[in-house]
Amino acid sequence: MVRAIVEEDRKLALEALALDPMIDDLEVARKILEEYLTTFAPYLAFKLH
Amino acid sequence: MSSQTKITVIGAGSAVFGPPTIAGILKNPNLRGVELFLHDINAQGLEKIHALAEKLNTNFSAEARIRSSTNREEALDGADFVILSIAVDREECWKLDREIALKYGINHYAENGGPGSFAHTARNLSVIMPILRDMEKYCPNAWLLNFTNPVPKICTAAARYTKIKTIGICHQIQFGYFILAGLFAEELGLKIPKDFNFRWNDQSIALFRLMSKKARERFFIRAFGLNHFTWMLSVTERETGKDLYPEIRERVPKIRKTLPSFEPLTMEVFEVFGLLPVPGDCHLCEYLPYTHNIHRKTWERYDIQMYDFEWAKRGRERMWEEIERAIQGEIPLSRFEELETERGEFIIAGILRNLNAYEEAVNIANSAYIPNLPEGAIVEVPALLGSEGPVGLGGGKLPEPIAELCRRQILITELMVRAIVEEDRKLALEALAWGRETPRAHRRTVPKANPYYGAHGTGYRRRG
Repeated sequence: MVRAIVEEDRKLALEALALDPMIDDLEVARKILEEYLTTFAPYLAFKLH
Repeated sequence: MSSQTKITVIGAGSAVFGPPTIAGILKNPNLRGVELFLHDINAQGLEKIHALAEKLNTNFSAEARIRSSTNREEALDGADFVILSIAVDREECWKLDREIALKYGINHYAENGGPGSFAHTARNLSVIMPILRDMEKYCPNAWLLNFTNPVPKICTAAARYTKIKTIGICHQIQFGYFILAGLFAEELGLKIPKDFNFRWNDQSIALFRLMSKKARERFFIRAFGLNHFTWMLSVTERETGKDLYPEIRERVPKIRKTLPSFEPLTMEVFEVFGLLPVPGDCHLCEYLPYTHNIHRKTWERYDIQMYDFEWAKRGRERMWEEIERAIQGEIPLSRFEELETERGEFIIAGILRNLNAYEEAVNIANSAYIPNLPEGAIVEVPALLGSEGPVGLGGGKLPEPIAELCRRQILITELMVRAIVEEDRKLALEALAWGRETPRAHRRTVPKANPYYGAHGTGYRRRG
């Protein structure tokens, strides 16, 4: 997760979420990631590509 | 070894496993003149398979000595190789494994992974542990070739609790070739129907076999990981050695649009984790949490094809009919010659004749073959088969996230097997809690432990 953020790597972020024990649906992982990144765009110094 | 090699087949009286296994042994030129001892507790099935074996023996001029008995001691006494494929009321119990978990909101395949695999393993070990004890007594130096599912769990029990040398065997890698055939259909001259996905019916399986065969002729997979959960570390073109991964990376997003019905979980897992998984969606889903949520209907979204028990039953009945007719001389024996084998005979020949033959997939204890998986864990790797047994080939590390997925399964396997063999209910609960990997699941596993323990006895009635 840290690498995903600091290296601005969206794919790694998805991989980290997919491995999280609370995630049991890859579609949910994708959607949560998108929503967090959109919602917090003004707060984020990192742009995950 | 005695002068005449003795190969014992436990569970031989099965229509599905018996004929291809026996035909494979008898037609292998490296296994001429062996003693082939067939054993089953189903006397009627055993008798028929024995009669078929005699016919095949003559037909192939295999010069084998065929024997059979329902007495296990006799079957095992002095054996050099023991092939083990048993089941305990396989389909009725499998159905129940699935239905019980479904009551608690888990929709799963319930064979080799997930909570159902606990019950499956407990039933099978109830039968297999006594067989292994008998092996220690009557043929302590024999090689055990285990085909019984869940392969890694059975092999782990053999490794941790017995002195028997064990090789776990499974031909799931053909699914890896099937997946490649989907991705490279045009180059292979294959016409894939619109909306095609693997299904448990004759037509789909015929196409599956053709696709798998075509892709295997052209491509070469090196896969590492766990049984039903291996990953293609490399895919090359046989003739040129060309690395096909760059092409695969381009094609996966395309096939998800042009043929979205084709192994959708495999394709999505590739996109997230970066390597192609081998086993196909049916088995891949057993070790991942992504298809079991009944509220979000993930099982339906990926269109996971549950094993079709009725189809299996019809196939078995048809096979018994053919066996009967072959014994009566009404149909040619070539029918059995053509059956696809699960490669046991090649592994035996490799060891017996010191062939150092390459096998694409065997299940053996990890010995740095996959450096980032625990030593001693039962892993599935390619190997050379020579007189020392299987010598696993190293593939290098798996990508760390994939290794983590494998390590979870290894942990579950070790806990589950220990729970069962040491009769420790607390460990069983721990194994189940790990399986679901969510905090709320911990509560759910509590009521589930009971029905699994209580629902079935441990009879040893072979079906099939």
